[in-house]
Parts: sequence; structure tokens; C-alpha cells
Amino acid sequence: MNRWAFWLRRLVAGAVALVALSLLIFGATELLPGDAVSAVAGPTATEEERAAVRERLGLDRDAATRYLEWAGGALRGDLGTGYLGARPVTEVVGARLPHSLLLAALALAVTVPVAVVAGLAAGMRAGGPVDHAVSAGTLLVAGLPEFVLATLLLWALAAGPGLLPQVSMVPLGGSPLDAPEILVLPVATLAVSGIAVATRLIRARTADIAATPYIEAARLRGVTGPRLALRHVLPNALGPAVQALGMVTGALVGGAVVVETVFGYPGIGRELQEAVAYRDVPLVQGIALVLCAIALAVLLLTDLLARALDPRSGGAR
Amino acid sequence: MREPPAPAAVVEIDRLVVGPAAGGPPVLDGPGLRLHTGETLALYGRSGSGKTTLALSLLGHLRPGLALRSGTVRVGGIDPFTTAGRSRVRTGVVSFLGQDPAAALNPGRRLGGLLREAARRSRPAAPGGPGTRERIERALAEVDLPTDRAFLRRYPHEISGGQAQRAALVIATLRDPVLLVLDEPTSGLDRRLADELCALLGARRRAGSGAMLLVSHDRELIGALADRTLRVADGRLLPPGEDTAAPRPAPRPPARPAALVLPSAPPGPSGSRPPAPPAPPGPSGSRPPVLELTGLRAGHGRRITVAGVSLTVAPGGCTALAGASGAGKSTVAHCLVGLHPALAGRLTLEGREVPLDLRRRSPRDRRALQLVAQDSVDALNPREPVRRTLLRPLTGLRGMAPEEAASRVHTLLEQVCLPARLLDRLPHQLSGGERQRVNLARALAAGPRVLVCDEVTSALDTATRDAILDLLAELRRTEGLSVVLISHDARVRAAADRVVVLDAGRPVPSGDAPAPGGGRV
Repeated sequence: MNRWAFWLRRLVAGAVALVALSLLIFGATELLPGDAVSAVAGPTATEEERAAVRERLGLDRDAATRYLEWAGGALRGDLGTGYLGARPVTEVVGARLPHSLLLAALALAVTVPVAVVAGLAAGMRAGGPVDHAVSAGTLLVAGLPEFVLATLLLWALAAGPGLLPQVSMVPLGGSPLDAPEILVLPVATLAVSGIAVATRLIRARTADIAATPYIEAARLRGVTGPRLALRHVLPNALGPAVQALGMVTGALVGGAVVVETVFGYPGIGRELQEAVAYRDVPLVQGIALVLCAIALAVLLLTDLLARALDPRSGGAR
Repeated sequence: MREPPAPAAVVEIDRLVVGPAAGGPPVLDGPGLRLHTGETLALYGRSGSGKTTLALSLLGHLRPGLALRSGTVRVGGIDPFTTAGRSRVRTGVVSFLGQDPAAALNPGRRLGGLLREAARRSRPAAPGGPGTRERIERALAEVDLPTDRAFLRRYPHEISGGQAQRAALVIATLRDPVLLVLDEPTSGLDRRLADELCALLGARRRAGSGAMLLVSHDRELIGALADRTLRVADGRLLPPGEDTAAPRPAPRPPARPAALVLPSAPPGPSGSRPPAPPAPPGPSGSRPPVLELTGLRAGHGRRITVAGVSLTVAPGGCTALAGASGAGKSTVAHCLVGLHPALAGRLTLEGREVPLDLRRRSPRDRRALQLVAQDSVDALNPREPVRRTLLRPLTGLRGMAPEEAASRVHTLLEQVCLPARLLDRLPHQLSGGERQRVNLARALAAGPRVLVCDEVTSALDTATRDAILDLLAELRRTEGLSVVLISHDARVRAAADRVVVLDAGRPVPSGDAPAPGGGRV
């Protein structure tokens, strides 16, 4: 298949997936328990006041009309206005998303080298002592819920010894980089769980490649150790490894909800959690849609990258 | 290799004993061997006799699960079973070329990188000698490969099969090894590539570059290259018998059911006889065919690879499906057993129409048509012992009671001439020949009417191949089993009473059928 045809097909598939996801998001918020009208109008509102609020929010129209209006606005870059504080959703996303992306990027920067090295080391000698240690360790961590992991790290590094702040407060009007110490715990929590998942995926692929005739041939030519792993195994494991890391990246951006809430970090995940708590439907919808779009974009990019890295696909020439 | 303190012999093996680390009978039972500079020694023997283990011991390599028990190996005076010795032996003294040499090329690396690595890792070049780049270019030119940059930037999948094989040979010999170990280098190759490799190795031998140890059952290759031939049997080295280059079929275990000991054609003088086609019971026209396939059409994706293929199999008969590789033989086989979706066609078994889609076949029809796949490594579950492999079709497909099935397992093993002690082994603990017999026994366990054999002998040595073909012939006589035999080997096809030749997915009218594969053993 021609490279451009491949790109085009993936783009179209991504767009279709995004439309389907937007329907799911809209449907899910329709089903969300609780009533935005009660939340906005207050518990003591009279029936007339409630009707006025309903009309003002446009909730008196049917769901299909509201979906089309919302989706059309999203296409023009307008995600509507939040119920609370009447903030435009795009403004909220614009303010919070960079913080979360910074968190995800730092976590990824830690995850990639560690996962590649650990995965290669374990997979090169499948069934050996290194493999047993790495596999058992990653299994343990991968099975641990993120909030438990975050609590453990908090206890070990912040609460007891007081090395790091327990709450990741961003200085007013500043960026998280002004106080780098607040990033350590959230990044560590995200990275540890990312490393566990990515290492397992890379290890499995490495073990498969290490058993091939061409790797045996290289061993019989006297190629050993890091050279065998990096020059002979890694080129073949790179494509699958990139895809594995792509899945992890999607999870890092979305998985920030728990971590940001635990550490009180002002990212988009925490904003989403608060929006759900306050029944701020437009904000929930907008943030969820942006997160879905980011995850899809990352997957699309890693697919293209994996293809370019695999010499057999005809991508890299 | 002609450097000063030249040891008397390049290879010295003394009373080498290698066996399973977990205990059990040894794989190598004390062979001793000396090989001198410039000498080419050929080893042959049945699969499972320890040939490959002996060859790999020269590089200090033992397959997983095996352990060195006693004895010594010296290559150029170095012990390859020490850590330092292994590294020295592998990086400049001994080179290895295995089955299907091109499979040794890493698909993720460019040829230039592989060649430079092989050149760099060789012993330091003599001062004033040619540099790495010149040596690579010279070696490539010697085997008629391009030396330009564009060629070196290619990946292995971007060159032809013949070029890949020559590139693998260059990589193995670039460091000018004292000893070149070749393990069945032609068994995975078609005839043209095998002849080409044979010519290249012959040229190398005439150039006097080091010693060669050749493990092969390819008589032409042995005849063209070997100074000396030894037979490997049960982990020992024996002088060749009177039939030097043609191992006879294995002697049958005596404990076979009497009903199976029917007069089979006596082995020919050279052991290369075509297995005798037994006369089908009764004139072939008098009884309706047991299996009839008409107008089969199938493809991969949008590409039609098989069209208008029809074949019939007589009761107790054998129909061969022949053709060059890529002609669609395996697709037809997979359509017959319902594993490949057919676009059109009609299949009747004993007069009943059978759906081409496996999902719509009754359990009875599934049992009646069984496939023996080409690659016994892929066909058997690596984690499943032989006993469970054979029990599953017996208890599952045939619904036998556990006790009955357990005794039937032993009968099946006897039928395929395997000892009962293999029952608890895993596939990787079996030799290639043993594995293929287990593969066959599993298909027989279902109690099939028609057995579809897809290149079942192509990875086997002559003796094992003949034994498998004899076994099929016997099953046809005694059990009335019908066989569809797919093979590019003319000698295997000689066992058939009907031959259908495919060319690019279309049947070739009989009469002007080419003879693909030729008579090479």
C-alpha cells in the first residue's frame, strides 16, 4: 500500500472514531445522574426559576438538536460555556491542558528508557533470573491501582521524611516549572505504572525475537550482550515497542485524573473530576472530547512511526 | 588459518558425551573426531542421531536442555566450552551456516551493517592487508553480488532468495574461518538454489580456505564436496556402510502389529527407490472416488490464487498435488480440510456433499478429513506432551472413554514406529522425524477417511522420508485410508496413483505437465 493512502485511511478512521466517541460522551453525560438545573438554580428555587434556568441552558430542547449544536460548535473550536462561573470550556482546557501535558511528557521521558532497557534485559534471556525479577516486579506494580501507588509514594517520600511537598500547588500566576519539586511525585506515580505496562509489552516482543534463527545466527557469530540486544534485537522490536508506548501515552494523559486529584495538581484531570462533581455538563463533555482526541492523535502518530520504523513495510527508505 | 603454530588438527573431539541436563540417555555417546586443515568431512545419519548437536558443539553451543557431561572439544587448540574460548571460537575460528542460510539474515538490518559487523569482528587483519571495506567488496564480488552502496543499503527482504543465501555465505566466511560448519545448508532450498550453493562451496573448497564440516543428507552435495564421510547413529560416529551416501530406511521395530507387516517393496540398491505404489484395491474405475473436489476457486484477499482445480481420490488411493512453490498447493490442501475460505467449488466425500466451510461441517465430516501440516514445529503445541496431543482427538472428536483412548494412544505410536517412552516428551524434545510422526499420528487419531499431507517429508532426511511414505502406503492397504499428497519432490509423488499438477493456481492438463522439483533427493 502506498504510504499516502495509508496515512489517509488512518486519518479517516481516526475521524470516524472521534465522531463515535463524541456520541458516546454526549450519551453518557445525558445519563449522568443528578440534574444540572438543580445544581445551577439551587435547592430552594421555585418551579418558575427552575424553568427559567432550563430554558437559559437550552435543556428544554431535544437531545439530537443539542448534540448537533454541541458537535458543530466543537468543529468550530467552541466547546460551549460551563454552567458554573460561565467560563468558556475552551478557555478552561487551554489553561489546564498544558499542565497535564507537561506531566505526561515528563512521565513518558522517564518511562521510555527504563521500559526499553528493562524489557530488553528480561526478554533477551527469557526464563532467566533477570526475566523472573522484572516480570514479577512489573506484574506487581501493574496490578496496583494508581491511587494506592500514589498513596504509597506520598507516605514514603512526602508524609514521613518530608522530602517533597504533599500537595502539588502551582504558584499563583506561574507555571509548574517554577516549583519543580511539586512535579516529582505525580510524575513518579504516572511513570511507575507506565513502566510496568510498557516493560511487559516490550519484554514479550523481545523474547519472541530472541528465539529467531537470525538471532541464534548472530550469537553463533560471537555477537553478545548489549550489542546483540541493541543492534540485532532492538531494530526488530522498535515498531511494536513504539505502539506499546503509544498505548501507555494515551493512558498517561487520561490516567492523570486520579493522580492529579490525589496530589491536588491543577491539571485537566482534576478539572474533569470537579466538573463531574458539580454536574457541569458542558465542561465534562468538552474535557472528555479533548482527551479522546489526544489519545486518538497519539495512537495515529505511533502507528505511522511504527510503520516508518519497520523496514518491511516499505515506509523507511 | 595458515598462521604459525598450526595445530596438527583443526578439530579434535575426544569421547564427547552430551545428554539432557535432566538426565536420560545421551544424545552424543562419546564420539571422537579429528579434522585437518583443508579437509571436508561429511556427516549423515537419521534425524535424531545427534548430527546437529555434534556440529554445534564445535561452537560451544548446546540447545536448551542439553548439558556437556564429559569429553573434550578443541577447535584450533581452543576449548569452545569455556566463556573466553567460546567468544574466540565464534568470532574468528569457526563459522556456522544452518538450514536455509538466508534465515540467518536479520530482517531489521541493512546488508551493509551486517557485513561490516562480521568483518570488524574477525581477527585483526594482517598489517598492510586490505581494509574492511575492500574485504567486503572483494568477498561480495567473489560470489557475484553487487558491491555498490545502494545494494549495501538494502534490507534482506529487498534482495532475491539466491542473493540472500550468497550474502549469508559471505557473512559466514568474511572472517576467513579456520572451520566452516554447515548444517543441512540445502534442505530448505529449492533445487536451483541448492545447486548454486553447492557450486559456491565447491569453489571455496578448491581455494583451500580452511576445513569444512558438512552435515547433510543431500547426496549431491556430499558427493561434490566431501573428502571423507562418516555416519552418525545413536550419538556415535561410524564408518560409512557400503551404501556410503544413501542411508537405508530405518529398520522397523519388531513389535509391530502383525496386520501391518505386509510385503512392502524391498529397498532399492541405492535406497533412493520410489516407494512402491501399491495397486489400488480393484480397478480404479470400478468404484466411485472417496473424495471428489470440483471447480475449486480460492484466493488471498482480492488476489485469486487457485482457480478451476478439481481432483479425485480413489478408495485407498493416493492423489498427488504437484507444482512449483507458490502454485497454490497448500491453499488447495487448506480448502480441503476447510481451513481456507473457498470462493467456489464442490466437495463430495463418499457420495455426500461436504460444505467447504469448516464451521458448517458435521463432526463426522471433520473427523473424516484430516490435515498433516508441513511444519511439524508449528503444527504441534510446544507446551503439550505427546500423550495429550494424541488423546485430544481420541476423547474429543471420537468420544472414546479415557481407558480406551489411553490404550489406543499406544497403538497409534506403534503405527508410526515410535517408542512409547516418547509419550511424555514435549515437541522440542523430539527430533524432526519424530515430530513429523507425532503430527501424523495425531491426524490418524481422528480416524480419518482421507489424509491430506502437505509437504510432510520436505524437512526430513531420506531414510525418515521413505519410512513415512512406507507407513502411508501401509495405512492405505490395511486401513483403506486415502491420501492427498502434496509435494514438489518427484520421488514422493511416485507413490501416488494420480497426479494433479498446478501452475500459478491453475491445473496443468496431464500430458504436458512439467516436472517441477526434479529428481534431487
